[in-house]
Amino acid sequence: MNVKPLVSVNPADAPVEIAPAPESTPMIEAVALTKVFGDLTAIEDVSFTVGKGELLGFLGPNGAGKSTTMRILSGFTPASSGRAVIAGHDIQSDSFAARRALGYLPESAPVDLASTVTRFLSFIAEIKRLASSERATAVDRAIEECGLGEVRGRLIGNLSKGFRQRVGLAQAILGDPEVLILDEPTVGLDPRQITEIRRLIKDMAGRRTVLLSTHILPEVQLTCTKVIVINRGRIVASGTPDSLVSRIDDRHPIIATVEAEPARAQQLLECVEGVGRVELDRRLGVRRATFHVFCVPDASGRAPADPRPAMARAIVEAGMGLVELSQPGVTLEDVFMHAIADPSPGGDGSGDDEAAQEANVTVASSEEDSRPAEESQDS
Amino acid sequence: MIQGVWSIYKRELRFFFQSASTYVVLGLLFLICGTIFHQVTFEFVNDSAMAQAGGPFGTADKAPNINVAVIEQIFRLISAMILFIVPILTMRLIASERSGGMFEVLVTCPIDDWSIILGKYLALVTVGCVIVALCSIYPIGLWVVGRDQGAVPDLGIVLSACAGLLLIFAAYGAFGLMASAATQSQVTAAIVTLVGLMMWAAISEFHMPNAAIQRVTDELSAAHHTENFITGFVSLRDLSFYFIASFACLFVSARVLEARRWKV
Repeated sequence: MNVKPLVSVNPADAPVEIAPAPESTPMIEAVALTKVFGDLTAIEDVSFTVGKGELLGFLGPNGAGKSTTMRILSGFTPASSGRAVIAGHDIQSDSFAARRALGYLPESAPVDLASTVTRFLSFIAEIKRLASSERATAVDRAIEECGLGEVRGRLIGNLSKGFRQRVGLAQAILGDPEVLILDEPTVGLDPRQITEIRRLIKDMAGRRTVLLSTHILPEVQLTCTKVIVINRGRIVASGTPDSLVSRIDDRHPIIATVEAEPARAQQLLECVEGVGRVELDRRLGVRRATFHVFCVPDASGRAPADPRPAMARAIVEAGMGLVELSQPGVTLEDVFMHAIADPSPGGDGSGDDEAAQEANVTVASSEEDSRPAEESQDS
Repeated sequence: MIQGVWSIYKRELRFFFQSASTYVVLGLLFLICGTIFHQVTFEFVNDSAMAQAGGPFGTADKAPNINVAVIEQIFRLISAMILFIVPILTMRLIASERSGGMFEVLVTCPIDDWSIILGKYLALVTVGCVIVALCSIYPIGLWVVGRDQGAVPDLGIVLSACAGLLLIFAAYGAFGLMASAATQSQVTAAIVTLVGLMMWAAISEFHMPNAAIQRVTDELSAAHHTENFITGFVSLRDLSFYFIASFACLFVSARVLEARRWKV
């Protein structure tokens, strides 16, 4: 991946105005990042790019390597190998320019317990080298944006966790950096605060490039334009939330509950056009059963037209009772659970379709079941 | 660079003067020093009176010198007390940033490690200046009271002793900063500093098998070099000892901050 150099940042005049970059310019670039601690490989060969204005969600279980990746991208610690580029500046070799373009919220919200909110933010504005004439305005704007107006004069040590987290967010956005790296911005907040922070982050996207990490799935689905799932230090899936869901959706089973003798019903369903395999999920009494119906993919690998109308017709015509016929939507949860359950890494982080067809986005086990037969199909 | 140092310096100085521990430490220091000062001054007055009276217990040529009997005593005491004050003042400096998560924010802001170290160190030295300035109350008191009796402390000795106090504070402080940079916990930082400083100060007290080694340990000892300043003897050797020691500790501190960037 080649880096397009942006207009270089002049240290003297901050806040920095960078010429509007073309849409495709990557603002965050991770190239084959690997970090080794002793004999533990925290992350391995992690590569991705985040374009200008994008909001990338970094999803993974605890200990997957999210924070390590973010620490590398923020320049806090170097990668054992690979390269991290922020706004066109290498975070190690051109560290100052990169750090100027960056707002970083670490995993543990930075708290300067002995300062008031305003004083803390003024200090951060100073060390971010904002021009002294603009500091007060920048601090006010950050306070307003993060909803800290009512507590601005209070000691941070006396604030609730939610407010402290917002103070952390305020210091990250202070000076309007182009790139924001937020490590679990909603951790430890109550549901109302989570909603507020999410809205805040979402409002920022477009103007700023945001990379946020989380292990809360709806968060990504609600806020992000792009998702990367990481597990055991490797990227296991990537794409837009919708594309990840739809890839898995193609082969997601239809749930059919039929009032009939199960064996007969199964036989009938298997004969419907477009239906591949039918599995008995569970019997509900003697004459009622739930099936999982899998569609036959056509030559291109895509599923054919929805077979549900044909199934309904067949069931009714055979004189059986149709109780339920549905295809539950796949959630990111399914993608996530599936991706992290798979020991062999699939996606290469480029998010293209070929990678997506690999093991990482094959049929997911839906919430309530897991079938050994299905697993064997994956391999 | 300068702006970064200045920002860190202001913030750190504010922390010093809004923290209760600073005042507790200063209060204890002057409580102890005041008591001892009273004691030595009282003895001095007694001895002077006896010397003037003559008789079997004292003669005029045995009259005590105010510089030796009071000034040296009190400054020697303060220099020893500094050893116990410094760990309390320095333990917070960097360890608290690390444990509070501020460290990551600081070092991902466009500010270099040396600015952080220097800003914090200069704030600490400023506190040292305040302490030394407050200590000058003792020689000033002697001067005010003793002016009429012709028993005033020598200005040169007082100034040299003050400089000595400030230098040893600065050297001990740099050591404390180094310990604070190397640890996450403030308690560990304080203990490491205290033990380290005790060894550094007392290394000349151990009896060495031969004179050459004894000479080396004397020169390495921090307390040994203060002795000259307190007795009014300023030498380039003692000055450079403190400067080199302080700089070495600051240098190591900056390296410690930088260590997270090393590829391992």
